[in-house]
Parts: sequence; C-alpha cells; structure tokens
Amino acid sequence: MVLATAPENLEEILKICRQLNVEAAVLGEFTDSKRLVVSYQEEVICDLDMEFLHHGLPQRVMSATWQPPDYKEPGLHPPADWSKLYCQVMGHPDVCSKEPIVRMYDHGVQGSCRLPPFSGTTGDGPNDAVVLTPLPGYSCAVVISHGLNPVLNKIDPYQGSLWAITEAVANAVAAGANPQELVLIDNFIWPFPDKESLGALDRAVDACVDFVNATGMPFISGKDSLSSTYRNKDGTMLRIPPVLCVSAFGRVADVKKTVSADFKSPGSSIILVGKRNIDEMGGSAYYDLAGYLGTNLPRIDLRSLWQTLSSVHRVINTGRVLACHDISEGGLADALAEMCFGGGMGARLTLPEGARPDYFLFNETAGCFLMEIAPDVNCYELFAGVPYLEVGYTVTEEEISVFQGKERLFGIHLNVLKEAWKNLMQKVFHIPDVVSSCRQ
Amino acid sequence: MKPKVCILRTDGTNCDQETFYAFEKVGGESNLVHINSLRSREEKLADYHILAIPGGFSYGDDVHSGKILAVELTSFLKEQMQEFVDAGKPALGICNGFQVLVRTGLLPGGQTTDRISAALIHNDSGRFECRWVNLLVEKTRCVFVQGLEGKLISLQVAHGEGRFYTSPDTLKSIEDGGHVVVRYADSKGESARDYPLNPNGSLNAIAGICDPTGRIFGLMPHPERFVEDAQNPNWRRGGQGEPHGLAVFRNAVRYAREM
Repeated sequence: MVLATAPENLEEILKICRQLNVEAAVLGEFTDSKRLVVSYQEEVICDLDMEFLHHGLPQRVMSATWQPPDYKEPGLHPPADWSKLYCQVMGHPDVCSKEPIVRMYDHGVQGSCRLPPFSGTTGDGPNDAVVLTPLPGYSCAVVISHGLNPVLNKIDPYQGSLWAITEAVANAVAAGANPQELVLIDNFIWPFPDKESLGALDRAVDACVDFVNATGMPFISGKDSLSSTYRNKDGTMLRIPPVLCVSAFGRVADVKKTVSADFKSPGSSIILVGKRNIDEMGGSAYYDLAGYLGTNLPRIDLRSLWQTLSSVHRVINTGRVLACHDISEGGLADALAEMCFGGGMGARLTLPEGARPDYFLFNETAGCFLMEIAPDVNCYELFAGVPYLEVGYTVTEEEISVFQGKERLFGIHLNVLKEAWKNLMQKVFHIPDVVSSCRQ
Repeated sequence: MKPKVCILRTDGTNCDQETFYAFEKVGGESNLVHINSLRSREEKLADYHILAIPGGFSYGDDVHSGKILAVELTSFLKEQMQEFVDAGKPALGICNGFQVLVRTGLLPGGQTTDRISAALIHNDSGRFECRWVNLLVEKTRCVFVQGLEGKLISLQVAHGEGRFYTSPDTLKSIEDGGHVVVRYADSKGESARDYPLNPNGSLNAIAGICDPTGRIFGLMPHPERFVEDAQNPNWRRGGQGEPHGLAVFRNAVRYAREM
C-alpha cells in the first residue's frame, strides 16, 4: 500500500513499520510543480505534465448491443412423485448446502460473530447474513450479506441484477438490519466487454440505478472485473457468465434484536411475507431439473418490496419473530426445509386452494420471507398493508407435510431431505455419512 | 492486584484482541506485546504474571505452524522463557499458540528443547476446519480448568494443523501422567474418534494438554471466543449457562493473583 504523511510524522511511521517487521520506503514527495518527475539514480526518467497525466486520454467510445435470448417456456405438469422432486431441488447445485466450503474459512476470528453462517440444533442450519459486533464488550452490530444470480442474468441481465440486489438486501433484513440504513457495494464480474457483454452490462447498471431510485439505498463502493474471458489453447474463448454480486451492510444498535433462521418452537405460526407471482418460474432450479431455463422470470416489484422490507424490519424489532429466512434459490420449499434443519423440528404446510402447488413451493422470487411467530400473535395487525399469508405451523415430528385444502399432497422426513441437500458437497469433499454424524 | 498479562503477538497473529478482552473481562491487565519488543529488551517477560500466546498464522505458518515463532522464543528469549516458567507463572497457548508451545518443547515436557516430542500436524481431512466442538474436561493438575473437571463444554476450533500426534511412549506418559486436559467428545462425553466430532483426527481425541506442573496449558479450541453469551452460535435458543471459555481466563488470573 501507498500512504501519504506530513514530513514531521515520517520518522515515527517508519519506526512503527520497523517494529512490526513491515518494509517501508520513501518513494517521493508532493511538490507544487504540477509535474510528475521520476528519477532513477540521479537520472530523470519521466517528466510529465499532471494535466496530461490525468486528462490526456480521450474518452473511449464503445458500442453495445442487446438481443433478448430465445429460450422456451416449458409446459410442465405437477410432479407425480413429490418427495423425489423435493429431494432433487434440495440437491440442485444452486440450492444444496455449501457447508464444507464455509468451514474452510475462519468465521469466528476476533470473537465478534453473533450470527454465524450455520447454527441450529445440529450446527448445520444456514443463516441469511452474518452479524458481527466489532467492538468487544459493546452490543452494537453490523450485518453483512450478499446476493447474486448468474442464471437469471442469462434470461435478462436487468431482472437478474435486480434479483441479486434484492437478495442481498432481503438477507440483511431477514437477520434484523434496518432497510433504511442499508448501504450497498456492487461487484460486476463480467467477460471482456465485447458488444454483447457490454449490452448486458448496461442493463445490469440500469437495474442498480432503478433500485437506488426506488429505495434510496446508496451504492457506496464497488469493483468491476470486466476481463473474465479466457482463451483456451485451441483458440476457443471461454466467457464467464455475467454476474452482479451485491453486498449489503447495515447497522443494528442492539444485537439482541437480530434473528437466526432456525425454528425455535413447535406450534409456532409460519408466515409468508412479500409479493410473488408464482408462475414466474423462469431460471428456477425446478425448471432446470426439467431441462429448461424458461423466459418468465421473477420480476421484483420495487414498490411492494420496500413496503415488505419495512414491515419485516418493524415486526422483527417488536421481538416477536422467533426465526426468519428469506426465499431464494429452491424457493419456499428450500427455505422451509432449512429452517426445519436448524430447529430440529418439522412443519405442516397448507397451500392456498387454486394455487399450483409446484409453483407455490419452488418459485424463487427474491424479497419474500418465511417467519416463525408465536401462535397467539395477531398477524393481521402485525403485517397490515403488505402481502402476507399464514402457510402453516411448526411441529415436533421431524417431518414436512404439505396439504392443499383437505388433501394431503405428501410428507417427507427431514433426514431424507437433509441427505439430498448435503450429498453433493459431501461427495466433493469426501466426507462420509453426513446425516448420521450430525444426528449425534 | 491486577495480574499483568503478556499477550504475545507477531506477524500473522490474529486472535490477540479477543484474548486481550477475555483476560480484561476477568480482572487481568492485558498488554499486547510484540515479539520484537521482547527481543529488543524494550519489554521484559519478567514484568508479567501470565503469558498468553494467541491464535493466528504466525509468519504465515511457513515451515510448520508455530515453528518460526518457536525458534525465536528458544533462540533469542530462551533464558527469559525458562525463568518465567521456573518462577511458577502460568502460560497459555491457544491454537497457533499451542502449536508454538509444542514446537518450543514447553509442551508436553515443561522445558524448552530442540528435540520436540509431540506435534500438531495437518488435519486428517487435509483442510482448514472451523466448527464448534464438544470437549470433555479431564481431571488434571491444570490450573486453567479448575472447577470444570468432568464437564462437557462447547468451543470453536479453527485450524488446518491441529491433529495431535506423538510417539506411543510419549502418548503413554502424557496419558499416565494425567496431562490430557481436554478431549474432543460426543454429546454424552465419550471421546470422539471420528470426523467431524474429532475435527482433525487427533490421537486419543486430544484437544489440549498441560505440562507436568499444570501451569503450562495449550489447546487447539478457542476459549477466548466464548466469554460472552452471544458468542455461542445458538445463543438465541438459550440455556447454555456461563460462557464456557470464561473459566480458563478467570482461573489464570486467580492463580496469578494468589501466587
């Protein structure tokens, strides 16, 4: 790193560096000549006008193009075997547990972690964000979360990027952050900007602008990696799927007002909060399993999103939320299973009549939440003005059972789901027999 | 009297602040002391009552984890270290600090030596591993765990080289001498042989040992990461009692005060 200091502090800075084994050398000094002068062994090897240095390069003009892709929207029938489908979705690479990867990083260092990546009765229930208390002995906390979605970007980089921002924000709010105080960071991971990629980039930037205008959340920093294109030995090009990774940061005055995702108590109500059009299944794991990307992807309604985020935060702040998890890849069904894994308890769901059960369970609209709330709480008052639905309740038995009206669609044991959810990374990391070992 | 605690740090130490905080919380007077300050004689170990070598990646774990800091201690500070130990003052090594103590010979033998008799080698899994584990506290002379004997506690491990390994003879003498202080265990307190309950494949599920006097204690898990309720991953579920790492620091401070 390079740092600048007043001349009278130089000796002290060099001394501190020496004490800490940090190599430090004086490179130069600021002058009023308005020129950059570089010399090597007394000889001047560079002498440039600062005006030229900063403003000498003419603005580059690049052209962009965007062609909507021609994917097909499938006409799928609800599955014959629900348990099999549920397991397949849980085992999908975009949905499955990434626990072995997370455990390779020290997420407890400095003793500041107050919401770890995984918690719950068997330590393997995932949370939405990380909560840290950076100052030892103080309860003020910072919430950090992320969102990205390369799959939706293939269908539409605008909607995919909007989803990514929404996902980052929803993750933070699910943990207890105040949406009015969130700040964002963008990281564009893109192929070398040829016409097509530049067109996609333009649409992603539009999404950022629209999100900021609708919510007032600022992007305070960012990074672009616009060179993620590789040339193979045979000359063929390999382009990274364009993806916007968004990070969200928020402050919480009291860490006690944050929540984890694991269910806490049998008999609680499970509430779905947020606006979904469940037939927007494009880019979902469910479609992918059938071999489709689709075109009808989840479109985030920014006005409704803001109301939902504000409401979720207000309700969390009342202290009545026992657990909260946002909906992302794998849909409501995955979010519910993960809350059950963490809580070591099951759930009974009742889907609204008339809704397509497969879409209801596996729709991946970001900015929606599952909340665990004590049964005696009046949800009508709590969630006034935002879309919400009581979808079921928690049970002691380690089973998820799903009804529609009076009809029982299926029931599945948590261990079966968990095995499907963990299996892929178990294999990658050569970890034997996971479910039995985490049962202990 | 507030016992003075030397929190030794160097390039790559990253658990010094929370170790500092843990000792302060129980009435110690923590000081962050860079190894260079000891080498330059700006600071003297003799001015301190407790030595703590915190976790991290000293010198990037080059050669072996803990090796280079151990060489510094046994080459440039050998007399100071031996004097400190001979004066009966307690020393604690956590994670990388445990690796350092083993590389100096202070564990398990209690004396600095060039021929070490135990090692913390690469995890069986071949990977760095960060997770909460159960530990059974054995009945030993270790001054750091008084009052915890027989209890099952929960702490976090975070290391890539934590597999306790030694010769059959040394293992026997450690076991017979009652120098195994904490063991990886299942939820019933039975010693855990297999991953992930035994996160690194340590012999006899050994997670921490003391020297024959019980005043030098090294362990791979991080007691300084559980000195507050909300540091437990499941604090929102309640029912955990006093933070499980706190007693280690309180015992050290109490022992130093009564010295």
